[in-house]
Amino acid sequence: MDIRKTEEQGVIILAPDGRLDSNSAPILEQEIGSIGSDDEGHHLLLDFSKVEYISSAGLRVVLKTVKERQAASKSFAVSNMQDHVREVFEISGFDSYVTIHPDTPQALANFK
Amino acid sequence: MATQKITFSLSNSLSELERLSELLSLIGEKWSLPGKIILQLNLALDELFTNVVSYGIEREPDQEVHFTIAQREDEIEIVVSDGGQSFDPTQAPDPDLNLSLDDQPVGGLGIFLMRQYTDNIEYRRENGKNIVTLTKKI
Repeated sequence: MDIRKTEEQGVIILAPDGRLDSNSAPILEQEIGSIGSDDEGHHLLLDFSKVEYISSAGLRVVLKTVKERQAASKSFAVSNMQDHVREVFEISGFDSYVTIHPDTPQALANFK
Repeated sequence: MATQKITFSLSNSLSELERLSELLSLIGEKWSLPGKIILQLNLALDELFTNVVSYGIEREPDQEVHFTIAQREDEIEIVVSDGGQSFDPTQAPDPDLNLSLDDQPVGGLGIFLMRQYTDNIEYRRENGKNIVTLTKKI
């Protein structure tokens, strides 16, 4: 899985490209984990525009990230979910744990 | 409509999930199934396969997981078998989706999603094999 990392208005944006399953989720988990002390104080946005599929392994990474960011008082959101991915979030009740924005500009505006 | 049937096997590695997805897409095209059905079946089978590989047969590298997918009239029936240790997904408890974030365990969702995206799940242990039968209305 390729993950594009950019920074915009003080927000680190990670954009995974492809299927987020038990085989690829550890790659995203590692990438999120690597946003360590260097990026302290930054907000984190997961841009899911290129994630066409998510399984429970992907949901686990998102939940873990929500918990870690909350514990460290750092903000976190997910944006640009495709319909099927959004449905999996909703069925799992994860839409009540994680902030979901329809697009990147709205996500960036909400971080301020 | 006559029954159509396809069988395939995956080796017990999570990297096989990509092949599972490709095979299901091909079956979907061949049988003219809606994309949404294929996505939902993919998720259900992904979760089952991930469980089998992660907990059932991880110490037995030569084991394969066998799939038989059949379409009859208005439903798809999928039989998944493996020779790993006994694992009955129908007995796994559902996660409590009403828990607060702090109480929500990181995991336990896979079998729940498999249930959500299929209509029936049956399990039997036969000749040292786990045999799970999933059905989904189309």
